[in-house]
Amino acid sequence: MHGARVGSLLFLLAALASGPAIAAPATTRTVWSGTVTDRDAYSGRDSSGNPFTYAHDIRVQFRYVQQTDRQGRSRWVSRKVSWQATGTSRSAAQEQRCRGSRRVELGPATGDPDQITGAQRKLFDIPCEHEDFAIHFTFIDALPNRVDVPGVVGWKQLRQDCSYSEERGTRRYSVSVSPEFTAVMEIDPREYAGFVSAPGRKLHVSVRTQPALPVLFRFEMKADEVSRFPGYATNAYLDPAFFHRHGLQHLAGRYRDDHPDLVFDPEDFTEGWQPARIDRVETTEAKTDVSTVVTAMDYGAVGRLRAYAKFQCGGWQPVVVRAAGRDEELLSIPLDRNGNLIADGLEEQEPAFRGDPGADEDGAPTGDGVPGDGLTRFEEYRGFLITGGSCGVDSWGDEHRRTSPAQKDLFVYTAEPLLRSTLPHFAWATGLAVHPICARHYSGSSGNERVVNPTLQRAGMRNWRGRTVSQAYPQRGLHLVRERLGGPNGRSRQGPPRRVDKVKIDLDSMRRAYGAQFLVHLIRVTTHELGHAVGICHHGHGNIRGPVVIGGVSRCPPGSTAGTVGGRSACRIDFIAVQQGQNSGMQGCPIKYIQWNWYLPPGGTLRGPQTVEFQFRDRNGEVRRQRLPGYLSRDLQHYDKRADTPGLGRFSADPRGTGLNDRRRGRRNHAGDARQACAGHIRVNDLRGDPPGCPE
Amino acid sequence: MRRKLLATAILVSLLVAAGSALWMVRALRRVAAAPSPTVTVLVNGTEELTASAGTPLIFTIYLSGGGEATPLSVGTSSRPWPELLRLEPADTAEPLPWTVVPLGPGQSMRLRETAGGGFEPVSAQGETATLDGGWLHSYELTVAPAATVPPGRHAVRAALEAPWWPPWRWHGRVASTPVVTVILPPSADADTALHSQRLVETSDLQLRTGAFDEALATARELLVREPGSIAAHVLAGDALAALARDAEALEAYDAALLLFAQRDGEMEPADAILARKTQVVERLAGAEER
Repeated sequence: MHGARVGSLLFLLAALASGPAIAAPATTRTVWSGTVTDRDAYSGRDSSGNPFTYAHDIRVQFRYVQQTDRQGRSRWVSRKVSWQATGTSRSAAQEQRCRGSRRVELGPATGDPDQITGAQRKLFDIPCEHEDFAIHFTFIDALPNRVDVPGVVGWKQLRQDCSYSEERGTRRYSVSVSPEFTAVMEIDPREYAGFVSAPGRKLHVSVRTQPALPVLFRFEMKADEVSRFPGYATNAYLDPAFFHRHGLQHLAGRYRDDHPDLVFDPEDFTEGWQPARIDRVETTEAKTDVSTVVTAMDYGAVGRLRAYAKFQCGGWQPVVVRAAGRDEELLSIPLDRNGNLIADGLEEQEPAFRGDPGADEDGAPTGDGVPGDGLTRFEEYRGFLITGGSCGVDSWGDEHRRTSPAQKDLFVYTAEPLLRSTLPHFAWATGLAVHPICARHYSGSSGNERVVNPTLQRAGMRNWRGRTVSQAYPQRGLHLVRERLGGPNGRSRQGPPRRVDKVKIDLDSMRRAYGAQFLVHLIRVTTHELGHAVGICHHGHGNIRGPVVIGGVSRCPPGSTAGTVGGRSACRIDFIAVQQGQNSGMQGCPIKYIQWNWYLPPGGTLRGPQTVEFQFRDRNGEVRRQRLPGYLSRDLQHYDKRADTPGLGRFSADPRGTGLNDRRRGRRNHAGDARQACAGHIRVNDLRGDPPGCPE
Repeated sequence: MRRKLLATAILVSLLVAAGSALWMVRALRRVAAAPSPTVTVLVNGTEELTASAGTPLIFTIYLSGGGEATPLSVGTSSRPWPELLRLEPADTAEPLPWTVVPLGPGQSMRLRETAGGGFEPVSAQGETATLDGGWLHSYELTVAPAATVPPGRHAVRAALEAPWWPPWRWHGRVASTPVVTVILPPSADADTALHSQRLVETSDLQLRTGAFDEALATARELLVREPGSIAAHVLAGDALAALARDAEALEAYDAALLLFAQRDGEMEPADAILARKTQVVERLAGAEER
């Protein structure tokens, strides 16, 4: 071992001389690290001819630190040994089983490093059990019941790379020698704390050795430690525009959707680096420090960066990561102290991003009390592509938006800019966050599925590293279209969005029907129909659309058709609003029907219906007959259409009637209180069952 | 004294020139920094249309874009913004093989935030289109009456081309995504749905262009073929109302309402017909009072 001492000293001096000029330390330290493995397995028959099996597997790792002073005197200052051993020897008559493991610090020594005390020797005993199955005696091969403490070889036996290995029988021994140094990865705390993954966004880290020894550096992001979420946002897959928009044109055609979400961009690794792989880079020359760059390719990219350093002697040793005030083995990208896959940088700005990434608890607006919008916190963090103005053939103009996990989100696609222009009003009226999207932003090209979180849903990726990222079923958006409807201004089924194929608005008919008031009614009608699509019911039911026949009247008012039923005078009328019907409730509410022809005041009676034959003369004096529902009433009143302004307010949170429906108006109260506050129906979450249907 | 006056004049001229130059530079910077205008085109309200030969085609060109912080202006009094818009084939460099004519002036609308936090619409007409992320400008064109669109597939896009002068206004060219129209041969008109669609669109266009008698005739042609067509009754009512034949219009609307009442599963009432009927009834009542 004396030769080894001298050799290590020479080796260290040589090492320091080849590096940058640094002050010679008072003492130098050399690290001997190695492994011993001993594996054997065989089977046969014992002395009685019975079959037997034998196997053992012993693994030892050691790290001895040798300190040498200026006078060349050396001693061992640390001797760490860890071992694991298993073994079984079994015949028909008996069995021996051994199993154990231990980590041991043998402490300082002055002689050979494998010298140990009697007490220490016991730390290397392998616990064994013996069991007899029969009374007759046979021999079986005994398992080793002790691990040998590894020694070190002489300096002269080391190869040029300062390593040595040998194989004797079933035993393999290898050791390498290197100066003791620490490599530290550092990162600007502000940059790290503020880093939120986004395509093309880069995170800079630097590494240096202590003391300043020249080493090779390797940076690595292991395949199973970096996300590979399909697409690059919750609703966006890679396309040519992706690379252009994020300044990554040089990666077009080279980077694929199934590649890791954090990469080493080859453009950042030219001189001084080996040809870059997207998951690993390595310096070509030994340096005392180096900087590197990690590039995100996904708005939800998450992963771990590891670094290694290698002196000209010895193997790769891990770099200590000094970040966020702690020493770690790896760098989590982005900084994510609570491990919820969401960058702490964003959690600082928006506390709603703190918490379980799989949760879907958006609380605003309260609506029918069902929380969430069908999107997990992680999906909302990863964000969505929305239209940046028009839905062109490519996604050049698209904008990325991270949505709030506290506010319910709704995505609406319409090709009609005029309809799209009304969405801000609907958002205000409901309290929802409403996002205009293009057809390509939900469920790929066809748009028929309308899934707004297709990337994780289609891939069936519900979890990543044990954390929920997407729910069991998809969430859908709405398709708002311009369509001729032949009567109604709009049409929609009752939501949530999963149940609504299309929300239809008859723009052409409305334009002619409302003239100068067209835009006001466009906003009202679109808001009304979108309201249905998120679960809102009318304020009540029971209105009579007509045409119907009213008997018991003395004179038919303007707008009605005079005739007879069974020889008695009757009028054909239509559009009768009843108390607590669809015209009831808050005056400004967009779900309230407006401007009907008749109303039944509080306390008024309307008996019927009974099908009757209504006889009348048309404009040419010819007698016509129609079978219509007939009612008896003397209470119907003319509806005050001029006072019934189009509802451009919020969906009502209070059922009490206002305006024309104010109780204080007495018999001029047109439709009274609503049966329920319609804002209490709002539901956008597709995953929590169906709301009760709207009574009509 | 004259020297002094001359010096003052020169100084003022220099100041004006410098101010103008500064203003120009800032205006140019603002134009350069602003997001480009966005042009969208729809044909008969959709991105893809299949229609039989003879169906009127109405191209609606929308102009929007810009940003609140960097508003743009397009169009001048000598060249109003609709004149800067044109339709062109998307797959050839040739001009459109048929001529188009405007269906009225350009329209501008935006939602204005109200004191209560909601929105109300504001509409305008003018020669200059402001693009500040809020205004939406639209301009409609239709195929000229004398022109015919031959059967086949036609991909058409809209383009905005603004000249470099005046330089403080947006200038350049942007084009829309194409809309695709498939015109079927006349034989396809045997299909009831396509035939109805052609007549409905024709009557609608005739109403818009003030050809009320023709619109009525077309609606009645449709009624002969489809007596149960609510759309035909409504179009007939609209034509009659425009011709001041209010009593007949009322009958047409009532017929439409009667047909509508027989439909199943309609969640909403026929409020578009109700609105029309209301106008006619009010006119009739007014006439009666007089």
